[in-house]
Amino acid sequence: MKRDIRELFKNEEFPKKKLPNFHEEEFLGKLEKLNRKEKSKPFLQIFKIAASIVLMLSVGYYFLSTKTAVKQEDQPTLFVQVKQIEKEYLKNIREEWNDFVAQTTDKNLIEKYKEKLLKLDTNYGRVSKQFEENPNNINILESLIKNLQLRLELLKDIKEHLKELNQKNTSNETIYI
Amino acid sequence: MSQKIDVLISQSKQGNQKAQMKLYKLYCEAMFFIASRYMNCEEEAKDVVQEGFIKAFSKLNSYTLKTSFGAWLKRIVINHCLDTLKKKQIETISLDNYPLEVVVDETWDFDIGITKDMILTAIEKLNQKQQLVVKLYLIEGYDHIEISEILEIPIKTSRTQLRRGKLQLQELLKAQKHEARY
Amino acid sequence: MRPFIYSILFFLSITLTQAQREELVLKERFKVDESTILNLDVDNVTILFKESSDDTIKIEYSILFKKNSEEVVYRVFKDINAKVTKHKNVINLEVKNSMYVGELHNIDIDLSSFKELLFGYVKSVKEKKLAYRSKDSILKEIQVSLGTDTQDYIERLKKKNPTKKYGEGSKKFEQKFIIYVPKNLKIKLKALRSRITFNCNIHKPIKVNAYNTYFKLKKVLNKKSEFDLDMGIFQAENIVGGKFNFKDVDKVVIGTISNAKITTEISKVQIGEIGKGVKFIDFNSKLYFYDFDKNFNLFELSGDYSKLHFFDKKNTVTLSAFGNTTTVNFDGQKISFEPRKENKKYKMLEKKIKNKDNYFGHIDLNITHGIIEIKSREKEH
Repeated sequence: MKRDIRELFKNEEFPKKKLPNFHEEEFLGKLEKLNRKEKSKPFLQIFKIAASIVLMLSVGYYFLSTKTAVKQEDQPTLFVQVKQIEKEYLKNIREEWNDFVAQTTDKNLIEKYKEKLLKLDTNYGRVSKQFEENPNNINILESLIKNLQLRLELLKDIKEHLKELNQKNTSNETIYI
Repeated sequence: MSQKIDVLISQSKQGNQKAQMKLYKLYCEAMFFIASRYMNCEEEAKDVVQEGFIKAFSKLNSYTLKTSFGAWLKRIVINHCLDTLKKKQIETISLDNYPLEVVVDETWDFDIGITKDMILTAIEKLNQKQQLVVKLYLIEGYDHIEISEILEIPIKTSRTQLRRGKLQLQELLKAQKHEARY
Repeated sequence: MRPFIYSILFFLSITLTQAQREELVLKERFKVDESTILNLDVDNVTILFKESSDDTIKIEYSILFKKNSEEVVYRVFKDINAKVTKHKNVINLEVKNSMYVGELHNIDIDLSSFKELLFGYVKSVKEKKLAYRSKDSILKEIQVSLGTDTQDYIERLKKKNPTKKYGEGSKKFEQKFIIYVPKNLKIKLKALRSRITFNCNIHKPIKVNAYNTYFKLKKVLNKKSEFDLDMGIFQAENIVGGKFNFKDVDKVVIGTISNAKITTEISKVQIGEIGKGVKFIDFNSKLYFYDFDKNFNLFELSGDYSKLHFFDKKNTVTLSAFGNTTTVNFDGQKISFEPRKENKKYKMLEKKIKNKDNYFGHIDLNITHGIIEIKSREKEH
């Protein structure tokens, strides 16, 4: 007769086994070391500071260009915060791109910008991976945010350039000054 | 009992060393039993258990009440066992050169004469790769998704190793049974 | 006497081990002659080039650790790959480090100070944009620059407030890489995400191909020099000859330049003083030409979607602009030049000067979709 041996192992309460002598004292020592470390500079604290830096970095740039009020809220984890900022930037970048493409018929110009943004996007992917491997590296974080800022600034600048070209105080004749 | 544990957990989260020691005393023997299954000697198993507890206490904030504390702790301890084994260059699991078979064979029916102890002994005779997967599946009760996370292997590999382990177990136990008869 | 020295050495070694620790990566020395070429291929490296006192090239690369931590030392050395070989007359130096070791981003203050400084920095950037800068102020800026504008701003603040504490950054180590080069050495450099500084002038032809690398140079004197940069930063005190290609380079700062051909694309360039024989081909860059040398004679630029800034002092230059679809802002007066059928180009603007006593030269522009800003200035800054 056969039976499913998986049943044999189910409903296992945790069986116990005695540890070697003095294990409790030994563990107490390890515990004390941990608690001492936790009291000094908690890693999470640095993450939190870095997170608010990142927020300030992005907000700082927006602050002077859009003159909106600066609000600083308490954020949970660094990763979440970075993802939020990334989402915000990518949304704005997409909007600016659409505006830009609508503003011009110069195919060469659009092609050059497409190429440049693609390059920055690829670079961003690479830096993101580095950030996932080293989430406590503030320099990697900075380059992540700088990449997003650069993309946005690029698009804003070319849009402004095109806008200025379109303003009409025109002349069809040579001007001598 | 579980209320008491909840209190201990929340106190431990706040860094209360006494509460942490109490939790250790409550769970260490169970964790030691589990670790002993994977580590080669008692000293190593004890170290792994203690380090596992330390890890657990340092990330206690990520413990939600979705699972029981014991199950959560067990996962940490098992992960740490495997990390330690990996560091010692003991080969765990890698993608095999065998083509991956797709057949799904769900039966685990063994002859009733085969006792639990016989099965446990036979498991120890399996090769490292199959042993780990069989232990995690059969004894710890993890499913293939969990096993693939713990061992950091693809789910297909987990299934394949499990199937092979089961077949191997059947082979080993068949032989034993024949021996027992004579 | 001896025990006294020993006890001092003992004390020193103890303090050193508690504090810093220097580990050697590479140390080599080669004799060099007229035909030698130094061929570098480097990733995530910081190199300082100095002039060699004899005819040998000395390569000294070590890492300076702020604290004596085995973990950090292990981690860093795991990520460093450096080797140097010599084959016939070519010295090959290959250094491939990971981004963890790289020093492009090097802000050395603590995070809370950085937070405070940030707003001030962004504000200062906006204010600086359209002001005239003298050649001397540009040269000074290059000489003390650490790379990015953010870093330079922080350094300026630190100097302005010497007693204020800004804390320490999270950097745990520093690359100490010095290459002593003799004058007659030809250099070929391929760099990625690195920092290259020359404390000496470059006399022989140098060929550079770089991606996202920060350059800081003194004089580039050979007309056969070639620089090809994709992103990164380029700062040079004086350029006398060569070909320069800047693509997506946010910061190009040059003190003086002559006899050079510059091709730019979507970059930002500031030049203190333009001399003879300078030609520019541009696509969509922001170009600031602060001054012209009194014998520059002719400056030629052709560009599309360029934004040019000229600062005219007492009517010393004449200018002509040929092209179409361009806007000119001349001291607040705005003139737009229309596009023509089939994108035909025509003479848009000609600026003459009344008397040619103080005549420096002519600016010849061929420009479409451009914006030209001309500001006249009377005062010397």
